[in-house]
Amino acid sequence: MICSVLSNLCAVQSRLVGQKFEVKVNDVRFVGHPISIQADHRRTSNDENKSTIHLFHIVFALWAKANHSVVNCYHDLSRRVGIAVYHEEKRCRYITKQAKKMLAVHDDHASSQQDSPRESPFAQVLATSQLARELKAVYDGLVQTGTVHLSIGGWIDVSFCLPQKIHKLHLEERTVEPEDIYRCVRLLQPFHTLLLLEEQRQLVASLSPDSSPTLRRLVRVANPVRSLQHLAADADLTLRHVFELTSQLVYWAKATIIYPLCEKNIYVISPHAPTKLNSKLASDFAEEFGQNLHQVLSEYSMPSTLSQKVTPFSAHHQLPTKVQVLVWLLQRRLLMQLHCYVFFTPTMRLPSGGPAPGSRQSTPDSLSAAANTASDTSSVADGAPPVSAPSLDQLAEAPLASLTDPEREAVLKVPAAKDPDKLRLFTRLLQYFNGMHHLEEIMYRENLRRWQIHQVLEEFGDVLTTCQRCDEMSVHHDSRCD
Amino acid sequence: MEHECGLLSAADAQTKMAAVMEQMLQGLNSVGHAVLSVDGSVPVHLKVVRTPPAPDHVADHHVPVWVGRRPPRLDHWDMTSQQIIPHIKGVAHVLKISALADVEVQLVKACVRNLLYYGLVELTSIFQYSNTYVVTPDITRLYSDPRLQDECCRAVARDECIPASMGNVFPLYCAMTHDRTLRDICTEHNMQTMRVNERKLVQFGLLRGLIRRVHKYPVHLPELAVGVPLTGRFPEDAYRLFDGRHSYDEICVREGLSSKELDDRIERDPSVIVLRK
Repeated sequence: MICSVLSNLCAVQSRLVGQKFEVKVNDVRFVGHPISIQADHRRTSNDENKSTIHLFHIVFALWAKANHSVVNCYHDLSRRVGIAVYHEEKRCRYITKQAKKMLAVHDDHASSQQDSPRESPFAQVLATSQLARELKAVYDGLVQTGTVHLSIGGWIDVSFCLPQKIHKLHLEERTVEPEDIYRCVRLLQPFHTLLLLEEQRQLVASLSPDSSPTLRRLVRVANPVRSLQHLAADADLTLRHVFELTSQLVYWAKATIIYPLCEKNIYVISPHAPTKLNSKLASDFAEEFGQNLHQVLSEYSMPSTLSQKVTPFSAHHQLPTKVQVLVWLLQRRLLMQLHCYVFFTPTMRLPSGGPAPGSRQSTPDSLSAAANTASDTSSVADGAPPVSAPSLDQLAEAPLASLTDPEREAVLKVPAAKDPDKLRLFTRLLQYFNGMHHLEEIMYRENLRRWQIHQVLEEFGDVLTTCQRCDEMSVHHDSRCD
Repeated sequence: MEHECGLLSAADAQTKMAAVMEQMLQGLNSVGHAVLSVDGSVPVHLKVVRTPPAPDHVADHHVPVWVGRRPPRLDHWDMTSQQIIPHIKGVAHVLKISALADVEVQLVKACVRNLLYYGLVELTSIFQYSNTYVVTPDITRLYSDPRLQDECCRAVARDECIPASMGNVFPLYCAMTHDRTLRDICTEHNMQTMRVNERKLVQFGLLRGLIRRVHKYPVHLPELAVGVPLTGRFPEDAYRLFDGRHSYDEICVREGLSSKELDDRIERDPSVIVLRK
């Protein structure tokens, strides 16, 4: 396609100004955001530099197949750069001056075409015009790292990142869409923490000079063993602001969200971890720690905790490296954490619609629980209620009232339910037993110790079912792979 | 239409055209297709065709499974698909189907891809008692959605007439962890008395995304076996599959080994470690 057609296409009508511009021609999709410059330079109207430019438009040419979210990101970039250029134009007639320089080069080139027909005028434009250099910097930044840092006209800073690209550079073979990041960030809780993906000092240095001072403060106190709530206190920020800053860091692939490191955390190899031999990851790991990545990873083939990895005899000098290795693996998302989730399943245990539960001899193991609840009804009904029923009613009537009759019956049949304290704790925790909250969250929300919850799980095991799985956060982290 | 009844040039073209456009808009937006016919002219059929993304690559070790309860009717399909469809039972992998149906592997793959494209089959892994499965976060859907529970109870039952009970099935799914193979789960729980068919249990879980398979990837690290005698080692060319990209299934199907044989031999070879993910 010839240039003049293209420029006509992009020089949009005035009523399309200030909106998203998107045109697909064969295999190329043009995306931009046209911005008009009103001729309101009254005071300089009789100046010799009078602006002849009514509209400018920074257009990106993408593959037509480009994802919708990618197109939106490029539109956003065009708008940002456009607004910066617009303000520079208002301030010091930036684009007018730059355009004049560019045109002069093109004119020179046209007049001297006979002498050196091969040299492109654009190389010369690059040498003379600052705007041209800035646009080139945008292109180079996007291609190389997916980020853009520049100050238009040496005055207005523009920062932009293309999440699809920047995360891909960091985690090879995986694509992270902005929607995944938004979903992750929505799940952020005070008991999570952020794990920086770069050295703290390096990260602070790479922040632009006018970045928020609170961001610097948060980065300085960031620590993978302390939760966001603690970090907020350390940095003297509100929790809400810490969430916002964390989201920003995650979007820019400067940090990832994890549950704070502790000895009881269970880790396993992430299903999407690249395990091929001779990868860059493997060589990086060998360089960093002098160990073989695959050998270390194989230790996490089965779910294991940090405390299992360290023998008590050599704990002092082993632990620091083990933690460093773990952090390295978590930064690259080669590992994921498993959590324990609890379901309240009282009525599920009762055999429904099946043959009569009389054949107890032939039902060993797990079915015995179901058979017990059915066959023990008589014994419990005979002996226990007269003694314990009144006190229990007073104590636990209100919380257990949300349950249906068979459910309440099943709970009260558990031996531990006769202890009022235990029953009170159980009813307090009942709201979390729907498979949506892991043990760590329950510990945080109810201010309990791990053993206390484990005790409840053990004692009320007949009406509870537990399962071990990764949390929703890690699913969104990894939802789009390969 | 212009030739037949002068749709554009007739006197009342404007009103007619408007009606046609209206009909088209309503039809396409509401039901996805529209039939245009003016004054008894030859009808024009319009349909918005859904274009799903191209299906993934089909490998030798993949097992195609019907998504619906019944396989589709045979007579719609081409000759090759007709030959293959009876063998798709959620049991045989692609290479085996090729042998059973006496059809070339590449053709089987093409047919399965075609079925995948139309959303009739899905790919799962080979069913073995030595497999490990783990639950995904979607397991909470099974807890909270009664309709899914009903469907599940009917789908996993041994006998189609007597559905299994949720009280039995749900703990079975929850028992699936990294350190338990399906064999362990079957010995811990009595599948017979629970009226649960473990093969259907796994298949339903995989299709609905309630569980996922944990694959094993052998990796060959020659430096681990320095100074160890060569007995029990694999032939050198077998190692090229042990690069962390090929799972047990893939290697077993390609080398014609059972997973137990492969397990035994890997155990004897100190230079091979296994990653599970």
